[in-house]
Amino acid sequence: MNRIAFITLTLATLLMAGTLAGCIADSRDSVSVEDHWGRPGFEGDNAAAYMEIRNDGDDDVALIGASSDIAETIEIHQTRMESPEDQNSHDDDADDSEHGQDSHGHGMMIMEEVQSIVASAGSSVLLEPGGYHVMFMGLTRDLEPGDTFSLTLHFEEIDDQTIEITVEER
Amino acid sequence: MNLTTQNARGFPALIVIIALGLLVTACSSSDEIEPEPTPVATAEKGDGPRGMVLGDSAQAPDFELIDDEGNPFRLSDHHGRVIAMFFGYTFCPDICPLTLMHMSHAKEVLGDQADDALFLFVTVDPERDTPEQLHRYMARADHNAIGLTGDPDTLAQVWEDYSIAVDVEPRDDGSYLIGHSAQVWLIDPDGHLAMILPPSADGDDLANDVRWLINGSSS
Ligand SMILES: [Cu+2]
Repeated sequence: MNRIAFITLTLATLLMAGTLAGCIADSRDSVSVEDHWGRPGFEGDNAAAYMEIRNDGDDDVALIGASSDIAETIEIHQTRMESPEDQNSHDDDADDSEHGQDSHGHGMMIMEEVQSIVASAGSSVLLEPGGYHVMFMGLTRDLEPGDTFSLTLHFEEIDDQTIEITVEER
Repeated sequence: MNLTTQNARGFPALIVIIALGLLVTACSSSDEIEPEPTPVATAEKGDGPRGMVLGDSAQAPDFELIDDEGNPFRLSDHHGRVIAMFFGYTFCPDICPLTLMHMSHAKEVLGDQADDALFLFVTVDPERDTPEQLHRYMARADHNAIGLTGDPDTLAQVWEDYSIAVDVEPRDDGSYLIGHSAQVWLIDPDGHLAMILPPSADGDDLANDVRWLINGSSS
């Protein structure tokens, strides 16, 4: 082997190993949680947290739960307009045609638990007021603007991520 | 490296370099994907009303409830101003504070004209929303809105009069959430049901329509 080719091959192999290591680290760190904040609330009441989950990896990632000592119960929620089909399933007042749907066509806003929130590969998903949120039920202490607390996010495919939520009035 | 005299052993090195190039490309490509842009909602809206205008000039159904300082509150005592009225509950941490924030924002946008408007938050949860509970909740929005509660029968009539569906959803842990209609009613200074804003309306929409009604009544 000539000297130049040998050096080139050696350098290339080293570079490749380094890049591979970088790639592995990349996929582990490819999910980031940004712009996170929480609503204030009083002990015993409910509150919520919002964030953007960015997934720069090549595989979808699903948020499936969260935990913190800030509330008795924590669920992943979605606020949405209840559709007429939902009405029929639990409408115990069937002869009241206005139930759930006022005379001007506005349905009812409900919050419900969702099994997961998926951040698709190469994109991000937003938890924001009026949509997805992390729901805290039964706050264990008052949350005033400026307060902070730890929130651990559980994902289906990757390790937990613990973030520091700051309480804000937004 | 002199390519014209390259021997057989130079070839694998080239392959490795090419492979390396591909690998770097594959690894960095995901960094180049930008998040979807958030649409800007209000930039191109005109000055006209944004909510649904009710043409029939029906009188706003009157009621007497208790405000968040414990005083009686009769709706008809407050005509002469534009009234914006939302229904919600203090254990609602998502859409209800959002609407309160919209009311605060609207008040700010209205500036001096805010004196000609009154913002009301009527509970759908008389069991938990005492005047005290409402008062500390309204403090979150600097008391820009007045919280109203009352006995369950009186409130049920108000909900019916304003087409507010209320659905108590019990939970396994013994607590409950409440599904409820989330439109904002606007009552003009003469006490007529003037407009309905959908839940998607923001603080700018609210300010715009309140101002439209304030100006309409003075012209
Ligand atoms: Cu919720």
